[in-house]
Amino acid sequence: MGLISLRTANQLYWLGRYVQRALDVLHRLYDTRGNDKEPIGLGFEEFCECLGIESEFANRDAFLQALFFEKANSYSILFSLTTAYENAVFLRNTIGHEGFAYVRLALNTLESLRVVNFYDVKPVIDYLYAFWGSLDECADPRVRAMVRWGKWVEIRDLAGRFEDSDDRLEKAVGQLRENLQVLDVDEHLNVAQALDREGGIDFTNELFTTIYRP
Amino acid sequence: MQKTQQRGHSRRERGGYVVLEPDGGAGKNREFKLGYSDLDRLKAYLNRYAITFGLFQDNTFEDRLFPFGTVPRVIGPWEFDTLEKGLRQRVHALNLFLLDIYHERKVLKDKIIPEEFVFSCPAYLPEVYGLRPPADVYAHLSGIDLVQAADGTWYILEDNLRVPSGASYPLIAREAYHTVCPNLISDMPVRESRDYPQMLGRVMEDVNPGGISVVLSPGRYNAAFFEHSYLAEKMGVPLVFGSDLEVDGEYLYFKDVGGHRARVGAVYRRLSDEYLDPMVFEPDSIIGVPNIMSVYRKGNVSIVNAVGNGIADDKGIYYFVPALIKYYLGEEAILRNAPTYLPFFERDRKHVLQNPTCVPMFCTEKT
Repeated sequence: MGLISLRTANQLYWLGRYVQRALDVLHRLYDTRGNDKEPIGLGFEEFCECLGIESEFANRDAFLQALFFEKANSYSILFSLTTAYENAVFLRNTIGHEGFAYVRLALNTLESLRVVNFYDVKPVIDYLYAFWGSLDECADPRVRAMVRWGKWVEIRDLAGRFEDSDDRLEKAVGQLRENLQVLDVDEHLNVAQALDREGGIDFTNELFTTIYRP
Repeated sequence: MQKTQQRGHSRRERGGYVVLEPDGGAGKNREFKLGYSDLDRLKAYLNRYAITFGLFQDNTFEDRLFPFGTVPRVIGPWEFDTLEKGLRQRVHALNLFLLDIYHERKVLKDKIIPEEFVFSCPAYLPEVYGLRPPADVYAHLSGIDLVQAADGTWYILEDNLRVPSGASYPLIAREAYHTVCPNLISDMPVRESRDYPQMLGRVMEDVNPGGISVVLSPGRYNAAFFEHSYLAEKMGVPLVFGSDLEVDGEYLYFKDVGGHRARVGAVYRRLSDEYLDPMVFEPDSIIGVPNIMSVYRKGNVSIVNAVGNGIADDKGIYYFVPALIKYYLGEEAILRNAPTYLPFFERDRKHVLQNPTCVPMFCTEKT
């Protein structure tokens, strides 16, 4: 296995989180494509509530426009992809040329759109899946484990926010545990403590309450 | 080298360009058609992989796609061989000059170069006087700029022996041609160039006194950051920043996330001498590695390129390179300098004063 610095581990984790955040939110949106009166799944106000966004949009279109394209807002898909890309730029040599390219293509495709059309957005989803597929080609199991650590933490987080079934939550935690078999406890703690220092998440605590819980 | 083959080797036609095989003497030159759609695909390829260079403008950073002339410029085999021979000769002489100037200084004693051109130059680093790099190699990589005059003559424009940049762009361009128009490569006698990262890796292994090799980048906002990460990937070595490394005792280490450390034996550094070690050079540098120079002095790490190389590519020294080739190798320079006049010498001063069109193009670092 190769060598990974704390800085790189941190970026791998956040790359996984932001790629998955964009993908997961896009999937959930596809489940709400009905109109406001006859929604399939959630209505947009409820969607906002789950994401912790104030529902101040005039209508569903305004909400979608903001959710897709408002780069300055941390809840938008464009923000997630931009942040994923900014991490990927540092990681080109770690995740590989192709994996990097899929994140870029997803971002480029979204940036090329002006209005939300679910068909036009499909390639973004395709590229994000291609990214996850390309990760399997990455030779270093620790690299894969760290990106997927971010992925499953994000899935678990969104599953909690959207009050998904217990099964989905359990699956996320199970995947986290399985995935992190690759890393030893010291590595978990080192990365967790580095992430703690970044602020925002008490990751060390999270490790013990989720992955290492009895 | 005087005249060369005609410039260009391509012509525009309806729907694109035709690339012509250079005349190899067989009298049967092949042609290859590059359509405009191919040229668009080549540009899209660069976009896909974000082949960029960073630019600061109005206090903001922007990654821009590398400007890429998609119609190949063909250099014939004879011309290429001569350039290669001339460049090897020049780099060999410059490496001997660096070894000499930081040790015996015979070149000064024999008055080939006036000593003020060395000692008044900020790129000369007394900190490395007497320090012998592994295998006596100073210039592991050289980025020597060539320019071709209208009559086809090639000139050396400048020498870059410190932190030369740009090797990755022709590599990725070649990859793009292999993908977009593979027949251009297979049907024409094009020489392979994509083994550069492996060659660089071998050079690093050759001078590595023990430990892993790394690429040390000053960071994301360096103009050539793409190249740093690309070469690290292709060489299969870690891309590191200063904060990823630490000196402990007489050795340099890479700090792994698992808590263990790996000794580092060779550093392909992409930051300038002055930022390399805040304990020796620029004290405010936060992109370097404190005390790396003490490890270097002990011979426990190779720094690629060597520290102090700037004296050899200084604009003042450039003037003397043909004389250095003669002095160290006993040969005439194969490649010429661009016409240069140094008013330090009476004959050149006269020429400059008598030729008002002769404008100063270069100055030494000092001035």
